[in-house]
Amino acid sequence: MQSQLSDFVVADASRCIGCRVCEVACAVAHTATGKEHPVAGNLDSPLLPRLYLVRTPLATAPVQCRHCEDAPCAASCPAGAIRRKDGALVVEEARCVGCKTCMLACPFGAVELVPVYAQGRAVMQTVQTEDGGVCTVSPVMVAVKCDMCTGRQAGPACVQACPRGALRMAAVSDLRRRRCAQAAAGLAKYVTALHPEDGRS
Amino acid sequence: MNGQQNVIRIDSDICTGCGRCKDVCPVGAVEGVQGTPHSIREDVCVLCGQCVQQCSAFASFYEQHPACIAEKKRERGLFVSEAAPLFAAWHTGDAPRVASRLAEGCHSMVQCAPAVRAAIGEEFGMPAGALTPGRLAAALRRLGFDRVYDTNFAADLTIMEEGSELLQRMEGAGPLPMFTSCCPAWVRYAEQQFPDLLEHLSSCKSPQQMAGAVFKSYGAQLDGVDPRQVFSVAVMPCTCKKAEAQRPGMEHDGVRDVDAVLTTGELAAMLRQAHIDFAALPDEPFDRPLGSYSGAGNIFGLTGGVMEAALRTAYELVTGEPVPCTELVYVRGGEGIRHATLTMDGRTFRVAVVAGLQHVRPLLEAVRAGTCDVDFVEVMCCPQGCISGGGQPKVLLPFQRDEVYAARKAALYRHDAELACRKSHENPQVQALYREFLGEPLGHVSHNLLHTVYGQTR
Amino acid sequence: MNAFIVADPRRCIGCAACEVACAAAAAGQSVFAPGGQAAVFSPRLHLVAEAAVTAPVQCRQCADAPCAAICPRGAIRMAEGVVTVDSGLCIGCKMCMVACPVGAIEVRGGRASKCQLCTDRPEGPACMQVCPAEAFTLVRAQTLRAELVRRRAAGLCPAADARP
Repeated sequence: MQSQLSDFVVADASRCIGCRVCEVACAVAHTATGKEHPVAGNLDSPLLPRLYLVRTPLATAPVQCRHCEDAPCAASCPAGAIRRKDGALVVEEARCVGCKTCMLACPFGAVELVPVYAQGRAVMQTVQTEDGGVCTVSPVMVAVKCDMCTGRQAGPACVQACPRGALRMAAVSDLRRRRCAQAAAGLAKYVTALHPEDGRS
Repeated sequence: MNGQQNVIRIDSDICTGCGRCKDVCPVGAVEGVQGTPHSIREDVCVLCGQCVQQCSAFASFYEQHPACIAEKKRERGLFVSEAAPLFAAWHTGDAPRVASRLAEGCHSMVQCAPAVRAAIGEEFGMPAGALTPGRLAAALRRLGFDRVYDTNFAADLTIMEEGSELLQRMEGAGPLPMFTSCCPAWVRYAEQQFPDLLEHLSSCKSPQQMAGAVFKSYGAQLDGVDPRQVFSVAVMPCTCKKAEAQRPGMEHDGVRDVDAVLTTGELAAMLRQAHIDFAALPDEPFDRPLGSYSGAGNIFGLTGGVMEAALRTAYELVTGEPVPCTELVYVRGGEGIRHATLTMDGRTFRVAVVAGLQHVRPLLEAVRAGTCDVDFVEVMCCPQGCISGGGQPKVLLPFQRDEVYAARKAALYRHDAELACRKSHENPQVQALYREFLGEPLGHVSHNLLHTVYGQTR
Repeated sequence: MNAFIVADPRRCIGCAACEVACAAAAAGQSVFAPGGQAAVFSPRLHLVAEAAVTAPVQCRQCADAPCAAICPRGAIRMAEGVVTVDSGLCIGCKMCMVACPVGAIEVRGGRASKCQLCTDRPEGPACMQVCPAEAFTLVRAQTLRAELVRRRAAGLCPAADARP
């Protein structure tokens, strides 16, 4: 039986204007503001989106996780923190130890390392030095990446928010089937005399 | 140009050149090539701040330098502790300065625009359209303002003055159509683009400025202080009001009507800075007498509100009878131009309401050509009136903006409907002010304090 | 020019024998032998069966293959005239699926798979071997060239018989 391929969000660089609304929407969807109509003043921590606007001379578009079928991030995670949930590949932040291996493994650069915020403050951890002496205090950092907004009723926030419709769900299996059908129709309509001995076109 | 730097600016370090600011600018003041940082033409910009509301390019956590961000916050007049990200389009900030002045000690009087009480709750987790006048008054007291007065009182005052002025013009004392002058972005546009039509503007100051003028005359008298000792602050949904307060002509007897203007967002920042839990505050009243208002004054904050308030009073002034139904739904609506005709005492009265400054040009060209057959026009620069102003809480998700604006409008109409006094001329404190101090509308005292001349150097 | 296999929709009867044969050849074991059902059924060509058209679609072995260009791991490369997937490098990211304009490549069992012309199969392409309607043609450079020359001549002078 064919297993379902994970959907993912893909950007159309010809439509992207580089406005960052997708980043804002993504960050807001993953912040515990709980507000239905968030305003800038509700933010008590930095915006930490899981998709990243890339601007190059040739193209501008956001880049995010492809939810690979044989994901190198999941395979390389020593804490088993990256798992499939409702088809999407999700980092379980509670399990993540911030080792950054997944960041190195991902060929798309889709994983970022971010501080954990609670009540507007970065959660801190203390680390003892070798001689058991002075502790350094640094923020707890975990890996984050696109999780397809699993659990969000309206689906991926970036897709909903993009003002130019540049982001869409790439339902790859459907996409492939449609293209095959078009290719076959193209053959039927336009390709003549594949077998010369058939005579007339 | 008087050398004053623009209230509205674009930070080229953060701007990605997406051009969405260009889409919303009602006057085409934004310039730039797609993909490269945009800039604002200061000679065209009307300081409405719609670009600031729209701008979504922000300094990314993944790319920024903390030292650079702190420096930018100082440059923008923000508290360094503010957690919200820095967007490319921004407005100059006055909150730290106001907080310092309050801390130094002064005799302070504050006013809030109607639109503020329909939106400030959003900054503290309340739903869109939460109506919080009581908490607003309480919050201002906790911040240390001596007198918590209200712009809505002055809106009632504006109706008295402007209504009388309109009726005089209807009798032939001045050119028609008459345009409202309470929206400073609209006034700025008229001065830049249609300076030949300025005599059509009402000579009234805006409610913000009338309030400031009354604070530093009558208000100072009531408190037994020298007007020059009064620190007059206004909280506005508007960025242009910051420039309005600095205009020549927005003064009386050598003192500025308004010393500092804060946006709704800036007031919220001050409350956060002072660790005041807005949502937990009790409801308190505004101070009397200059904080008492009617429902008519309250609806100034939305498109059609000034017109409706004016007609509620004008109808009675002309016919001697109260308006049959207080809700004048035929002047209510959304962005664009609306026309209405009513009959008062056998006379036909034609009005227009413009919401969104990009829609006003045809009307003005008709006035120039002498073909405009309207008597009175309300113009608001922002798409749904002040509740959608450049200084309001910034809605983060563009697809939610319309819902939030609709909720804020509904809140102001709701407040109007629940108030006992719904017409400006019936506000007992306004009546008392005329009796005790001003005399009569358009009289000598009013002329000095409450009116100005438009078209002077910006 | 890379050779590629293409099917004639007018001949195709939609029996799907090509899919079965391809999957069997790719699995390296007979699907009919005991335990055969455990093999991953992964045909590298895809039968389109609609009211308007019936035909299998498979890789065109593009000269500037978009699947090869987009692969982040460089797992798809041209090898001896065949656009080939290196399963060892493939991470199943599906970008090749998004890139392929004819939908010829698919990710199954975590890896991308596509028609590779059965180059290591002594009998040649399995689909061609099994098709009861002889719908497939292996288009090679010389056959295509010959056909082009014939068409040019026919266009120039319908009655003439062109020499290649």
